[in-house]
Amino acid sequence: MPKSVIIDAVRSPIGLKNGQLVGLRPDDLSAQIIIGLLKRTPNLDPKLIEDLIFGCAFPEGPQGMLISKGISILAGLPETTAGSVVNRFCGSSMDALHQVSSKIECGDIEVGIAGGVEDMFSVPMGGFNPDFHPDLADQEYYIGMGETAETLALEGKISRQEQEDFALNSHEKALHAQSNGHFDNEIISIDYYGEHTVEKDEGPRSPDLEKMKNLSPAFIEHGSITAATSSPISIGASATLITSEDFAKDHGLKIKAYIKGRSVAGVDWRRMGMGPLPATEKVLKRTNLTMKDIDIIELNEAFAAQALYVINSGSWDKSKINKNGGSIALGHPLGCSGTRIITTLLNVMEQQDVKTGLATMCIGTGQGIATVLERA
Amino acid sequence: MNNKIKKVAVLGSGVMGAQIAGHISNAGIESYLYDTTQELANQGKENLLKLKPAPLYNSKNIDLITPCTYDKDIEKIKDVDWILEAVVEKLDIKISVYNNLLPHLKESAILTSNTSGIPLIDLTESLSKNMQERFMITHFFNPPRYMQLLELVRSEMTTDETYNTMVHFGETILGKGIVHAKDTPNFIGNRIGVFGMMTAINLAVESRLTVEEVDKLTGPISGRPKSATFRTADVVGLDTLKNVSLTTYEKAHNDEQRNVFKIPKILDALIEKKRLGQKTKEGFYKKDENGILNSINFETESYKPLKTVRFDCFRVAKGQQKTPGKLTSLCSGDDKGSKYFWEVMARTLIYSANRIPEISDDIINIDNAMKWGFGWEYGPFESWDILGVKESSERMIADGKKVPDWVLRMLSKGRETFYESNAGFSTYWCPINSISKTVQTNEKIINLKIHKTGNKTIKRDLSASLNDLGDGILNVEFHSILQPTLHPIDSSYIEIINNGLDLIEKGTYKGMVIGHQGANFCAGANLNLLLELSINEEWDALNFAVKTMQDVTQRIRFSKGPVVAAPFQLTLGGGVEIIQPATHIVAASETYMGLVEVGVGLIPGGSGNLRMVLNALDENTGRMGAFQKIQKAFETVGFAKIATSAEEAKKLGYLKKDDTIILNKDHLIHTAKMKALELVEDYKVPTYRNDLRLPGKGGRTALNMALKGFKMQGKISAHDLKIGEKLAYVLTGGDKAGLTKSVDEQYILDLERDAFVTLAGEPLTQDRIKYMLKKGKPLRN
Repeated sequence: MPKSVIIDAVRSPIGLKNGQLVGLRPDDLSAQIIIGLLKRTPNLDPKLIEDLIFGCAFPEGPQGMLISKGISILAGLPETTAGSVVNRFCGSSMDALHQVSSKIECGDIEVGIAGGVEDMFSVPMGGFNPDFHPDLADQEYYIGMGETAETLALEGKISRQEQEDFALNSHEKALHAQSNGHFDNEIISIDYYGEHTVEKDEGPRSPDLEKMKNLSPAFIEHGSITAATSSPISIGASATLITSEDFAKDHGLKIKAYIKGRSVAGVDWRRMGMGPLPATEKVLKRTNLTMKDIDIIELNEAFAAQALYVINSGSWDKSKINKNGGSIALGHPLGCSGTRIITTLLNVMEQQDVKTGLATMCIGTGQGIATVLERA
Repeated sequence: MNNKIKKVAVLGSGVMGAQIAGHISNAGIESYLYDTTQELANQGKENLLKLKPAPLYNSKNIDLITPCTYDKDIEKIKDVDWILEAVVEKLDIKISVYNNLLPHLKESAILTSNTSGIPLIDLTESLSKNMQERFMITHFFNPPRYMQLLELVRSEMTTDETYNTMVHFGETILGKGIVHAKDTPNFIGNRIGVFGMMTAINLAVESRLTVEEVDKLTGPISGRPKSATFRTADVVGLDTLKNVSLTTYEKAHNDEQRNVFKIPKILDALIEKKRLGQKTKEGFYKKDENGILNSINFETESYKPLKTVRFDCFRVAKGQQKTPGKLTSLCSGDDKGSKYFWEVMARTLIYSANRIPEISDDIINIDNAMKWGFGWEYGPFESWDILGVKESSERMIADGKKVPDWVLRMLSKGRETFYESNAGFSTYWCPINSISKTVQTNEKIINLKIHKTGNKTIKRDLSASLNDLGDGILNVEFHSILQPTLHPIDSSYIEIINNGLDLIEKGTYKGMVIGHQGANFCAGANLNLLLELSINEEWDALNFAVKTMQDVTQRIRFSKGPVVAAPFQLTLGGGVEIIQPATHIVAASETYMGLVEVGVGLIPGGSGNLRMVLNALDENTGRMGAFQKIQKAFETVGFAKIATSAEEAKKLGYLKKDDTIILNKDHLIHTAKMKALELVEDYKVPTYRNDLRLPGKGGRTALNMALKGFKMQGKISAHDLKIGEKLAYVLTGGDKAGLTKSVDEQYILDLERDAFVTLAGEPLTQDRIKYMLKKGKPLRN
């Protein structure tokens, strides 16, 4: 069976509200990173790219009309490249990566791009025309994400203080990574219609502790979660170039990592944030690994409470997690985040010079998704 | 007359200059806002978004203002048709500013100054003859968006063309009330207004009245603004008041009451201690550290908490329904308060009369200046008419006061009032020629009060009348007997509207204007009646009342001839429901519109929901789908949003995009009549809609999820949640609507009526209504 390998991975800077990326079309944004990705791989003839699969949580409006094919055209890929859009909410682009990787491993294709995009400013969460099933509503299927995290905070006895410390730490790590150039290899700078260029993430900052402590709970009147301990609304795109091991060797492409394992798992949607736990358990089992074998973890930070719940319940080693900060500092553009954390994971693995990495995230509607990578 | 002013330059970006530029932008006109540095000009512009009350109808209007500097952008002056100078009140600075820009002016450009203290003659001295012809004073009052008064002063050299261009621009484009003033210190408004304030202060000290006692007597009870005397002084700024007063003192040498303009000891004492009023947070009033309001004691010059004020004359006046009765009561008591009030009043009336011909040749401009610039409901001569010129003059004489000769001459000629209206005309007494003159009619202003004296009332009911506006157009006029300023709906409104629609149906008339000239258009339903029916559980009667309201609104919508509604000021709840079905709306820019039923625990029931649905679905709002359109309406009604201007009412979906907004509310009836006549041509009755595609149950479930979120966040109460769910039910089209299913107008009406009646039965809703009736503000429960 062919092995699937990652040749390269890139992302855009992540833009926040009132920031410099707001107003850039998500397809234009994505096309720029695809162009950037291919520029870094001059040995690859774009004609050989068979499929471009993009994740997007709300594929409508400017993200509609099968955005991946649109991106492909805007990026100048040949018409022979196919395209599909994947929706698994927050896990969308990681799922895209799983799909490309599976296709390669079963021999359907040899080269594909997997990525994701979300512009949370031009398409509201819930989409333009939400139409909810009353029975599902009764079963709290449409429960607010914040509320699910509040439940985990309560059940996991995670205090507001702990959450704030976690968020602060996420910012500090991201700032440190920024100032030490640890994101330089993963970010493609973005041109905003000739008006300005955006080169770095807009989220990381030294939080005003006083202000942070005085914030009102964001979701439940006497809750513990605030805007400061939640991932901010944002815009961003990310993409990975995946081939079979043989193809890479034949075409002189340098392999960054092997995709060793993939998994998804369902959980109670009212506690969707715990999704990484069963997903990780599954992927480790399939790859015959244990948590001890994992050197580095990228755990998507939807909420500090949610991440802490996973870490505490799984007794994960905090020192291995999100070395360059996480989504609380950077932002969590839903459809982009899956391959964003894969991209960051690859870079952190190189920076730390370690072998095995895990990327995992929770998914609204009650799911978890996980990927294990092994450096070449 | 066509507007000749397409672009304006405002010199000086201080509070006044910037706000005038702001108001010019409200009229949709571009301006350059000049100052000495770019920073100052930018700051002046940016302040427009921060100032309270908001100078702009819509924050976007600010884009029409370009901040400029004299050094860099002086050439731009050649583009403008009018330059308004609002720089610091120093003659040499003004002159140097003029000299700097004169070489760049367009041949036809008009230059005006907003000065309030520098004589026109001094300003024009250095100007060329040609420039003098195009120069005059345009004196705005602060805040210029809200103060109706615009005093115009011309020199002998100012041409008629220049003057008339500014009259037209001020009145029609900027919506101001024009007062023709002379080149005398402080013109008209501030001359009489400050005399009144200084007299009130001096007499208060003399008669040992407290600050709060004076304000109680000189506030709304006497047809004056809420801020009365001392709070007005605090708002204006005590230093400003002093400066204005001294201008009269120093320059009006022949004023027989000149000494009144000397600064009283208490005022100087406050200013010395930097107690300048609102801007320093202490003046005549001050909030102590516990947030309790204190007032200054004139003798000890220290602050004391306010004491409850009790005057017999006030109590009697309060029992009177309208201001004229109140004024008479205040003047005719025999307590300390009444004696004080009469004294201030008498002195102000005599002073005003003595200013003719010095500051004005006629009484009209003086009355207008006080109404528009100081918020008096009645000007001095109108007030004198109310008190009875003969009786009060006799009383003044008995007091030892000198009544101006011309007033006595008028009485001796057998004329007992300054104004008279009959047969559709109004006359006023001309003191100069000692004759009665006809008030010149302004074709854009239909004054209903005068108009009706021409036997134009077809039917008069308790709270509404049906008038003939001529040319086949009817007018439904509200004049509530219950609440003469808020004009809540009562059955007489419905009856008169129905009478009017009957006449249109018969073909006796072609169209109708719903509008009047009271203080507010209509503040909503009669809550007392509603509460009574609810408490007595008379559900059938309540249902019938709501149905009657719905029926009349639908009748307005499907009238055989066009109906044009003309709202202004407060237009709330049922008031909105009455105007929304009209063929067209001509709204005053200062219209504060909102479906605010949620505040009293209800949702609109008299067709407000249907109108919001129709407006939402029909407005072309880009890529928004039915859900988003309804979601917006849901938020507007659910949060009981009140638009802060007619422009905002369009944004919120209360008004339609093609409805007309005009800045001069006195023009409303005439403009609405003209619009009705225009619509009469080729008028087509709208089609009954049975194609309303609403989000239905699925969309409603999404809205309800959001409501539950608000509840969880503690932003809304359990009762709010209940009301919100009802509202969502109606707006999303109940059980019948859906993305593939249409409903009709009557279905929505039935839903909203049912929801309204059900909510009226809720005890928590009844508590809200009771609270609103008692305290005048919403209860959160």
